[in-house]
Amino acid sequence: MCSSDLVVFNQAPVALPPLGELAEVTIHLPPLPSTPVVPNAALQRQDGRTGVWKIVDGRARFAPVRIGDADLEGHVQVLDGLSEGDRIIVYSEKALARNARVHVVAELARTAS
Amino acid sequence: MISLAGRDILHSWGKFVFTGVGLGLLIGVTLVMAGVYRGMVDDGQALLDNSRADLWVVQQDTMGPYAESSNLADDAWRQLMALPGVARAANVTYFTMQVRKPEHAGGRDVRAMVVGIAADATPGTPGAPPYLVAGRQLTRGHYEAVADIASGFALGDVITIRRHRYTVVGLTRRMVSSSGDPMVFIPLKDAQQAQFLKDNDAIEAGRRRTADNPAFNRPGVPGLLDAVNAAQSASTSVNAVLVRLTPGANADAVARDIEHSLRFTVHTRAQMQEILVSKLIATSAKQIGMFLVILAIVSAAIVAFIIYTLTMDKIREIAVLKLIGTRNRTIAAMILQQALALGAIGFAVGKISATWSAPIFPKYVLLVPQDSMAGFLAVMGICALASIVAIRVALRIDPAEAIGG
Repeated sequence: MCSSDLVVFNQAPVALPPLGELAEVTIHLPPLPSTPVVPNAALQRQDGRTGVWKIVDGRARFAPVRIGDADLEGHVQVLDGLSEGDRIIVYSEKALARNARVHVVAELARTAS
Repeated sequence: MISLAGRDILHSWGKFVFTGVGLGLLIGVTLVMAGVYRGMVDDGQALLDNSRADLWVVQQDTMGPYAESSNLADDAWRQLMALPGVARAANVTYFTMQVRKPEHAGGRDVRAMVVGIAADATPGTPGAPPYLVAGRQLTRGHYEAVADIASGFALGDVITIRRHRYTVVGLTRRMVSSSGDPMVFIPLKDAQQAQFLKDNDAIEAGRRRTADNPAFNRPGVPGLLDAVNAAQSASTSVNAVLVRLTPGANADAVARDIEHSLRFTVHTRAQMQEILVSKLIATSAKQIGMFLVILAIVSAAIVAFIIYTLTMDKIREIAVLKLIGTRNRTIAAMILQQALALGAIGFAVGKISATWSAPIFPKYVLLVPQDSMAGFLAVMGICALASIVAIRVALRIDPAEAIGG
């Protein structure tokens, strides 16, 4: 999220608006390159490093990742540290620890209201 | 050799099993009571664990933010971040209140601890929920909430906290206040308003009062009244700043630094635990503990009575045994084995009923294996002790009673 970027008009308004005028501005940013995204609920911090818990051989293994941009729906870009096909833990019933045995269930909580 | 105890139990097994089940329910209640106590302590632990803080920075000379109220400026975290040894510092507000669901969704209200957390919520921010069971973490700066599943809210629910409505975007678990109320996490700005901003009528009355005060409403100073009003309605306080230390930093040393240089009070994890366990929940824990002791004594007495009456019921049979020349040891072993069997059935029933009923309780009931182990040993010990009384009586029975009565 940027707070103080320069906004340039493609087409200058005929009469410049007076100072102090409020405007609603929609900014189209260039689309980001396609990278894997993870839900922000999966991101954890362990020993000062950000990462996700992977499932390796039925056990939890912490994998540090480098994250990029996040959107408002909770998707976070992963730039580094995960490869396609990795299984990661998004929701857990309690805090995970290294080598914890993982039991995968359909859902932990009723998700529909 | 045939088992006398087994034969006797089979003779009237219905009575024996029912006695065991009755005893088991009593033992179950005792185990649950111990679980309630453990749950209370664990709620306090969970509160500290889930905040993932090493230091709690609070208003000077207070035991905040859980045991006492504490207010400090919401920019204090910047000063803290500048200190060596501090890795992260995050503002947090805690406020226990009734959170309402909208009228069309039942309109009931839930007692919850509303926690204001910094909404950027980079992973590992102290104070934010460390794990979720559904949905996502907060991303927007306003009007979103992550609720503990014990609150009964579901994803997509719209809940009302003070003047604003919030959409539940994530659910978490075991995030409770020290009194077991589920937590509802909302963005810090909203939480500050919920806690410190007055209602419209009060603001209006306050402004009128300020306008009537000649000190603030001076004809010669335009803008003063507006400035005073703005200052009065600003909500720039938080209840605590949670600090995470860099690896290897000494918590006590950093705490001392903060106290000396910034004039706040700092609690380390150990001190916070002390405050929670020995101050905040001390009285209710003692109450439960007292109840547990009484229940244990009553259970022990009842076990002793049951075994005694079971033996008394068999006076005639024991007399016959003596008449046919059974050794005292055999009779004593029979009574002891029956007592222990009764205790084992009772403990099994008690453990199962406690395990089944624990999740139904509104507050957290934590059944610790050590408690069960101690309970089992206590039950067996009490049964053995009670059987000694019964054995003494049995050995004094006159064999002649078998014939005469």
